[in-house]
Amino acid sequence: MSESGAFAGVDVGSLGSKSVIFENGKIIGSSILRTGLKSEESGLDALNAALGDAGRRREDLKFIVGTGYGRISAPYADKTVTEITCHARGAHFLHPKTRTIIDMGGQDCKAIRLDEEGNVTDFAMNDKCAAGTGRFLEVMANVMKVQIEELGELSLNATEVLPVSSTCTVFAESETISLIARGERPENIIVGIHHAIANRIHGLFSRVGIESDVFFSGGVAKNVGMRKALEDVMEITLAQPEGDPQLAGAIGAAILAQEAWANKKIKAVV
Amino acid sequence: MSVQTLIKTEAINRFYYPEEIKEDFLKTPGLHFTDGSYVDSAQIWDFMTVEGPRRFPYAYNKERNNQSRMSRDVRFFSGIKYGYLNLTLRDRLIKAHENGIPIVHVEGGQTVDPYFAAGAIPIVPGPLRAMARDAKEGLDIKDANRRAMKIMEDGRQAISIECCNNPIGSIEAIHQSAVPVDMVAPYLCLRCTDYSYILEAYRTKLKNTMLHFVDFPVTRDGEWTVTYMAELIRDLVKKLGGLRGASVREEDLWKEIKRENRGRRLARETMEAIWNAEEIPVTGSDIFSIITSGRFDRGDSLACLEYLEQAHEEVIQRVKNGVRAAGIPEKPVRILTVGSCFGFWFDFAEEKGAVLVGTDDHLSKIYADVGEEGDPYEEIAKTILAYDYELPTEQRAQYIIDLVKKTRADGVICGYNWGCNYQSAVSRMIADIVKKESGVPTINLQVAELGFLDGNEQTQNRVEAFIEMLS
Repeated sequence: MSESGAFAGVDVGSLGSKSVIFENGKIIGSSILRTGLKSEESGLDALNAALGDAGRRREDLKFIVGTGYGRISAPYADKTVTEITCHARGAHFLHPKTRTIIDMGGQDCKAIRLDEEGNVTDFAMNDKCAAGTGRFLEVMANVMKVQIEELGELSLNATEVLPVSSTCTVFAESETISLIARGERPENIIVGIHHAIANRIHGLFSRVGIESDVFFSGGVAKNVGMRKALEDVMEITLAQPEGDPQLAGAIGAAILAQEAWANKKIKAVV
Repeated sequence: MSVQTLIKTEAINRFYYPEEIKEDFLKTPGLHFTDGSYVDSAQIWDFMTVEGPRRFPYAYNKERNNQSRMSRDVRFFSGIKYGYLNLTLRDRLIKAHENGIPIVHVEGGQTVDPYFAAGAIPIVPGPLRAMARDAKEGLDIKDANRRAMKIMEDGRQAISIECCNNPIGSIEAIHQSAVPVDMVAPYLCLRCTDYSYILEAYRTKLKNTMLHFVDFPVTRDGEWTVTYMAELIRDLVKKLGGLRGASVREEDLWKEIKRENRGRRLARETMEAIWNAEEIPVTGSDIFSIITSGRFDRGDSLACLEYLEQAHEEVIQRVKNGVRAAGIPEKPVRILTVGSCFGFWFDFAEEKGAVLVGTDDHLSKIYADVGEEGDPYEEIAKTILAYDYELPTEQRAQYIIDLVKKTRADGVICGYNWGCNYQSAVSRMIADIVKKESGVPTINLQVAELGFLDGNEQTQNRVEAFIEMLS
């Protein structure tokens, strides 16, 4: 369905704020910013940046859907929807054959199953622990004294996978410090960290099952080491992203904004 | 946020009973209590519109995470009366205690007939924690929540094991003398692993309070378990009577059993009318009040019974007239919750397009009548041993599948509190069996914020996504 006019999706996560502008069924602008202390401001900044990227103004927007944990402070949004629903719709847009999503965000990871229309049929999330999330990688990058963006590439140079505990970020951090002190190769430790997260995510899929194609969404999906660890541990082939996987939630929100606008019009006619 | 802004925000969020309903409300009957007293609807109205807001402003805050707030369906007059029973619980128990009525802390999931029959008042952890919070009056939502949390965190000093917030908060409340409890006397049923905490806390915190455990023969494998349990109940009743220097007669037990059977029957007939109605006639908050009143948890079995009689009449009338309760969405997603002590945000769910249709834990109590012939102790024992909620996990799952059909639920949320060793072990298994055998989607949630105002986002996110999936 392609509704005329511009629609926006704003996804305020714990680490990143993303926004997408949708028009005539296409993405015409987007933004990814670091989430600040005030989620309302972060969402607005992301929205304005995406509008700038699209060459549109706020008044051009017909409907805005907010998602992510920051949606509870999104007075600029006409409607809010959970990021589970939004990621499903966004992943379906980016890769229509998607039936399973691994979403790794800053503070949680999700296993999502969807139907051929992009509707959620089941999901599972990690139980409120940083282990298995983007935050876990941040903590580990800090311990390894490297930038988080470097972790993925470094892990590809590993000669062996050192086992690291997946149960708790704090325990894993102390294990990592011990491994460094023991003189282990940093690349082998880093690949172990990625495998620890992959093990954790694999466990989530015992609840909901896996069906191809599998789409990896969220900011961590850009980490090549994490992609490889997931493929190795879960014995799957991840779909190649056709678009930025970090934007999946915001894209889904923009699509839902367009649908909400269409439904509103239908109700008004009825 | 400045203090002035906070005060302004809280004033905007304040809930009021509108004056235009007063005339109709005053035409409704009041409530009788077991001590012979009676409050008419005018007294209830005055309390709920003047004294209540002054003494317990938190209960009138419209914050959607406020699990202690009033039902927003103000024209469901029984709901106002339930609010009255709620907010006067502390006053009534203190008065009873001063008059020599023993206040006994029990756990959820047990029939309370013998406690009331013995002239005592049983009180479960949730209301007990609320009473402790209410010992300080005039608190708005944030301060009331902070006070409840402070009591609970103090309780952690006595713990070397993990258990859920409910017993920690309630035992600490007793320790701080924030509630007048004369005896701690729960059944040792399987549902809950809190007893290990109670025992451990008893050694360090409750040395001056009587402790009496009622054993629970988990095997339930024969006539001996009934005889054994009946003897334990007999002993409990004797002890409870002893607290007030009186012996308890069998006729006292029969009288209470008959009253509570009538209450349980009313509660389930009311719920069945709600489940079968075209439109949901009352809010999730009122549904929960009806179910929990069928376990007589507001300190007075007679007042609870009268509340149920009035609620039943109102519900039947609403069903007949096709009334949909205020705040209930059109064609809501019907959610059945599974698990002990798992709080649910009724208003939040309704805002998101769903409604709570029941909880397996509390429903098991209103479907557990006590036989009215033979030996009353044995009849009580049989009921305790037959609780659906206490059945082995696979059988409990079958009970939930039956509830899914009965309630016409669209989805099942299985929840357990962090630290609850028993429910955390069985919750996933139940979620899987129910999903597989009923075809209804289920979700398994661990919650860590029982009764908390803040920090609920992650749980709410899962609940909201589940509702979206079912919409």
